[in-house]
Amino acid sequence: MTSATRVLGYVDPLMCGGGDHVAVKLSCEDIPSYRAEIVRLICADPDPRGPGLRYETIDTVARVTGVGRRQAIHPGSFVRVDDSGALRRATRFAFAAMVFPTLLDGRAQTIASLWDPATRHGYAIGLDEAGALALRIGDGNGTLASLSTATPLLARTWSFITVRVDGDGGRIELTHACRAEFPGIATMASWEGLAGVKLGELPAMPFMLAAEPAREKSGRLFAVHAFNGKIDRPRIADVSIAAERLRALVESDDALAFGDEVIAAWDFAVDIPTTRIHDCGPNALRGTSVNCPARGVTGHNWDGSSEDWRAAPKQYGAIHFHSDDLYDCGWETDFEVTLPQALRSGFYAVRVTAPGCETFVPFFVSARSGAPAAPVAVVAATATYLAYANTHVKFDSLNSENLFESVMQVSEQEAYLNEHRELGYSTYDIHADGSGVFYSSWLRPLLTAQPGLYTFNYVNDTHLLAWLETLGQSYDVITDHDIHRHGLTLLSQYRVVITVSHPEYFSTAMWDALFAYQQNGGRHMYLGGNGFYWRTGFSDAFPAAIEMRRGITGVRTWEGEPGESQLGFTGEPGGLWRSVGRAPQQLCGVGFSATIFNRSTYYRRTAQSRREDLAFIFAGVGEDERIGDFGLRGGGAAGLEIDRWDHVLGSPPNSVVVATTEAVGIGGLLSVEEFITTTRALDAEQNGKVRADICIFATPRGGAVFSVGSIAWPTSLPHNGGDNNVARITANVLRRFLDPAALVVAQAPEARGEGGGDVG
Amino acid sequence: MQTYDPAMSIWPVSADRLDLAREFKANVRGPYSEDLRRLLYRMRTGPLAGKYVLLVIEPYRQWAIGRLGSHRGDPIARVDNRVFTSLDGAEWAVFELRWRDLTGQVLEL
Repeated sequence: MTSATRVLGYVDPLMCGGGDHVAVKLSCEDIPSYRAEIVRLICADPDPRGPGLRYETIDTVARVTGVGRRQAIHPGSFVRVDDSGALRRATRFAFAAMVFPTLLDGRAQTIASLWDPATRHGYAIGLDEAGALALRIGDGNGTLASLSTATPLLARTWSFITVRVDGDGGRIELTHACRAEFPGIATMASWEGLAGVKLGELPAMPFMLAAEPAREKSGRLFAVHAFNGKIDRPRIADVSIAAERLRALVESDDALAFGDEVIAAWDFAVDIPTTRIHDCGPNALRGTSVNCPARGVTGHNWDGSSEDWRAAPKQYGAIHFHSDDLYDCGWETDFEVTLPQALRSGFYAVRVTAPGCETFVPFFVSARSGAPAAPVAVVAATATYLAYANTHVKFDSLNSENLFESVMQVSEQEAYLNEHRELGYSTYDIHADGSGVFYSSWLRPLLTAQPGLYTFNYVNDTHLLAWLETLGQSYDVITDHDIHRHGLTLLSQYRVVITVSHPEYFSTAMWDALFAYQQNGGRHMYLGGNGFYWRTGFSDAFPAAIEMRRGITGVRTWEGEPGESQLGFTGEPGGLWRSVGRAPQQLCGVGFSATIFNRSTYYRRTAQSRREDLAFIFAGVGEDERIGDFGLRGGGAAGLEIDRWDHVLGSPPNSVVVATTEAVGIGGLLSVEEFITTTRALDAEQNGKVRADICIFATPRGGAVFSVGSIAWPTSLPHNGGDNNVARITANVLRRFLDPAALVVAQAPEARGEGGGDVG
Repeated sequence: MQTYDPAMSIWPVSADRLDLAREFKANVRGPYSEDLRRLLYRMRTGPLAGKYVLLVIEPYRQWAIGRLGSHRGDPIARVDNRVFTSLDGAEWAVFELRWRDLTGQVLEL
């Protein structure tokens, strides 16, 4: 079998346009040389039941032959303070912080360090293999001491730690005290004695929090022994500071009031949306966060009086570090490509081949704002692709097999992801310490957003591209990121905007832009399901990443911690759009109702669909036809995740349901936010909310919205060579939406709602 | 925070319920009777350590049974040399293994 993992890579930037220069970064395993070419993907689904993998090579970009080399990835988030002068001089100091370790797994982890691994000079404060507070201290001349309280801290419990170091060969003291006491369990410990180490001037290394430095052979600095857990209010003071003063310094928000006693007092509550780490002490020892640790998380003093880090910043002074956080692989560039100015927009890849190997490294070429090349824009759901990137759910989540009702199939790429955790996680995954993953970045190989067996969003979306090409319909590709950045200006260039199978992750700017487009005469086709579901954060400080917080409702593979639903990137409440008053029904007429992973089903037309003003939708489709009782995903057009119409949740009063599902069956299960009290009637055999509705409505200034409410819709398009009623309906609506004549949909909704909800 | 726990699946499996095994073999993709649903939920709900998966040997054509290791990230080990040319066949083979694991008895129909 051809390997797709012996060459891995990423393109920087992931999203670009004609004329741009992009950097291609590769890592090869036992491959002396490779060939690379640029291809435009037409269908990324190798499934032999469909059109199969289809792409065209871009001949206007020269092929590249290169020498394979391996490039390392160093996950683990930490803080580095590069200008460490005042800290290097501080050889007699006291370190203190509140810490909340989340993974005591027999691995040593560092909390603070100023350490040169080459000379073994400096110090590293952390937890030893037993989970006890420990200090390693070396003079760089062979004298090294490792000291420990030998009593483990408690996991998921706040402890106050102090480490006093007289680096002139004097006394060392380590203490930890758990915030709570548990009779029978050691909750405090200390060690005191002499280490016999004279530090001298400390090495010219960055000071680090939550890790310590190591060097690659190339000289590149990276971090090891990364900490799992929260650190809150780390302080460094002169060794002479009294114990109660040190404790007060940690609790204080006014470090300068402690005068010369203070060397550094970092306040993580400042500049939460950025990489900046603020020092409110006298030396302004500013730091930088690396690999995107979780900020805007509850501190040791969070009391539940606010869930908003903007409103109560003093209670959000912690950072949650993870040894498996990854923002940027930092790989060197193997070659650069200048994209032709006139390159058409689309889903692209660098196709890298070597004997026995073929890898598609994805990137997207967007139509230029101001220069549309077609009347139709297809939205590449780049935020969604990132949210799912490198998902480990099949083998890390206990419930996956129940969700999908079959034994999990693990492809070569997924088996690779299982073993190579350094490639980082999707927002569906949990970190090694069990906490949910907030961030996903494209500065790393994205094994789920390329041709292959993982189809759930990226691959499924390309079936629309293949169908449009067969139809001869010209289209532009724009990305979620383009909509976020350029908003209505970009969208308004297009007569029709198509969001495809699963546009699940939307920022506020994207939501506003799409709504404004609809309200200003735009024609929006939503050919998917479970769209517009999670509020998503974008950031100028982390341009390659998205952020999401799962919060406390919605279908989730993990649950957020209390008080941590607010997006760190933007400060907005995260979680479901529905929870902040913007249920998907408001935007599209339908919104998420159910998962249906075991098999898909079909729709049947409603009585309303026979109205004359809606006849165009069903031209060539019989009144009693089953719509979409075929398809590549579960054998139907209505499946995987499906959406329903609901006037209470905001389906526009002029929206009309023209078709609805039948025979959803017991595999259709209501989503979590769709029921309030526990019931056994969560499946489609008993619960009528488990359904997909196709709906249409007119919007102001001649606009319109057409929604199908099912992820599986686009993967039914290729059935029978494209001669089928899903394709016919899609083409009918597209043709009508391209016609500038205003759409008149008579206001005669068939209220098929449930009235007062489902609680008595 | 909510976490998954294998204890969320406790339905007792009886080696006497060969009727459920026959039902599954005859109709691997369901829909299933109520008791078979309970049995499958029990079988599918972990724990993750040692959980069975299907390794894709040749896409769309060949699968083998693998097991997750005892720790996250451990390589997935094949349980035997069998290669399945149908997903239903592989699914049934996993059912047999789980029957043996849960009842201590080899499934013989």
